[in-house]
Amino acid sequence: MPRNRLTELALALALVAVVWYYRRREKTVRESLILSQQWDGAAAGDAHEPAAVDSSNPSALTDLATLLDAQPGEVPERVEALDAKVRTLSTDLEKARTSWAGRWWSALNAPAPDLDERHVTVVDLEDGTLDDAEAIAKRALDDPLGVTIVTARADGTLAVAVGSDVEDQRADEIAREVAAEAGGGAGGGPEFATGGGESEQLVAAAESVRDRLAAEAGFAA
Amino acid sequence: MPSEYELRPVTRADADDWRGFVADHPAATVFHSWGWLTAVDSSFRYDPAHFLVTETGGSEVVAAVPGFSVRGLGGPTVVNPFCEYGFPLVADGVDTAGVLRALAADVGPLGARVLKDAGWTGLAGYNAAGYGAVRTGEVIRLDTTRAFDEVRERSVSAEGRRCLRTASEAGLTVRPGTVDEYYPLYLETMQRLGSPQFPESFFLDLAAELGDDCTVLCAERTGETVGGVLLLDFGGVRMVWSNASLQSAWEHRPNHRLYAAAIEDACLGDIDTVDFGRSRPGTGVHDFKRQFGGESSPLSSFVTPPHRSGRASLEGYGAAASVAERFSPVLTSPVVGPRLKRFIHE
Repeated sequence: MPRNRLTELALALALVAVVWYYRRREKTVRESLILSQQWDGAAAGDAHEPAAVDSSNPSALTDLATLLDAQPGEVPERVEALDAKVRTLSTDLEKARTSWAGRWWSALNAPAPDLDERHVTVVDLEDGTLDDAEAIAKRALDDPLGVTIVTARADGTLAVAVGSDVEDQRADEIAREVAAEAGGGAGGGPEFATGGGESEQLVAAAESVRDRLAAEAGFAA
Repeated sequence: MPSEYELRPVTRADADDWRGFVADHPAATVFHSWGWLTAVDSSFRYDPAHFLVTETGGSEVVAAVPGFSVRGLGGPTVVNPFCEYGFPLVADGVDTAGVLRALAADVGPLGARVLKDAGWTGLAGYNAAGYGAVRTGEVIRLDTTRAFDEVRERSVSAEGRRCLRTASEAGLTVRPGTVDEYYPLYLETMQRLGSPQFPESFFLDLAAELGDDCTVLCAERTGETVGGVLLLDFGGVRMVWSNASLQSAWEHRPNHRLYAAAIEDACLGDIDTVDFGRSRPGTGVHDFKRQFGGESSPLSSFVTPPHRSGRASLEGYGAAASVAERFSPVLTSPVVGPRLKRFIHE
C-alpha cells in the first residue's frame, strides 16, 4: 500500500509540475509575442502603442506591470503615484493656461522690439521657475540681434540668451551682473547662461542691466 | 518549404567579406565589427556562430549576423554577448522576416537565438518570423554634428550644467588614458556593486583589435585618477561602453566631466552620434544619462523559439543585485569573477 501511495503521489506531483511548466510557457510565449508584435508595428511607422489591458485576461496585471516597468507587486503604488502626478500636472496646466492668457494679453499692448537693430528685452515670469525661464531664453537664441533676460520669480532664477550676431556681449557675464545685483550667482557660456538671486530683487536688477546696455552699448530697450 | 535564404558559418577566412559587408551597412555598430567579435572570441572562447546570409543557391551576401553559442543550464543560446546590439545587418530590398526565419530554423532542439535590437534601427519582421521579445531597457543617443557649446546649452539639462560647473570648480581635468589605468577603477566599481568583472585581457584585446577606435579618458583631481570612461568608435558613432569612478570623488562629479569630455571630443572630430548605452528607465544611471539630452530609443531582445524568451530577460540580475553586494569579495575575486562573467554574458 505505501508503495502504491508513493507512486500516486509522485505521479500527481509530476502532473502538477507539467501543468505549471506549460502554463508558464504559454504565458511567456503570449507576452513575448505581444511585445514583438508591438515592435514590428512601431517599426512599420505606428507609434509605440501600449497593449490594451483586458480585465478578463489573467495576465492583465503582468501586462500592466510591464507597461509601468515595475514588478506586479509594485503596481498599486505606481498607479497611485501616477494618479498624484496627473492631478498635479492638471493643476499646473490650469495655472499655466491662466498665466499664458495674461502674458499674451500684456504682450498685445507692449511695443515690439525692432528685430533689425540690437535690442535688449527683459521678460519677467512672476510665477515662473528656472525651467520656464530656460525655455523662453532658448527660444530667444533664434533672435540674432537680441539680448534676452528672463527672470523667474517663483524660485528666484534667471536665464540669459545672447543672439549669435551680438559679438561684444556674453550671456554668462550679463547673467552674473544681474545675479550679483540680486545677491546671487550665475554661470554658463557666451550664448546662454542661468543663475539665481533674491526673487524680490531680480526684476529691478534685470532692468538695471537692460538700461546699462541701452546707455553704454547702444541697445534699443 | 525550403528556406529562401541559407546561412554560411563565418570562419577567419571570411573576415574580409564580413568586414566589407559591415563597413557598407549604415546601421552597423562596433558590436558587429570584426574587431569586437575577435576580442570576445579571444577572451571568452565561446563557440563563434556568426553567419553570412545568401539567397539559396546564390553567392551574394544579403545579411550578416553576429553571435556566439553560449552554453547554459537549459541548452545553448546564440547571442552577441556583453553589448547592446546584435541585430542582423540586412541589405536593402531583402526580406528581413525571411532572413529571421532562416536563423530560427538553425536553432537546435534545446537551443535559442537572441537578437538584440534598438528602436533606432527600424528593423521589423520579428513577429512575422515567430520571435518573442523581452524589453531590456533604453539607449540614449546624442547628435554631435554640432558645436559643443550648442550641445551644452541646448541639450544638457540645467542639473547637468550645474554638475559640470561643480566639476570645473573642483579642478577636475580629463586626459587620455590607457586600459592599464582604467582597469583598477573599473574593478573597484564592480567590487562595490558585487558584479562579476571582465578580465583585464578583454579590455586589452579590445584596445588591440580596435586600435584608435578604442579610447580611454581619465579624470584627475589633485594628481589622483578618480574616474575613467572606455569609448568605442565605429562608423561615426561613439559608444560609451564602460564608465567607472571612485565613490570618494562623486561629490566632484567626475562622471559628468568624463561624459562631457567624450561629447566635446566627438563634436570636434568626425563622430556624428554619441550612444550612452543601455540603462533602465527609472534608475539613477538612466537619469544621469538623460541629463546630457539626446533621443531615447527602446531596446529589446528577440528570442526564438519564443518560449525561451526568459533566457534574454535581465530581471534576474536586477533581483540578485542587492544580494550580490554582500558576496562581493567572492563574486569579484580574480578567480571567480571572470569565470562568472563568461557564464552571465550580459
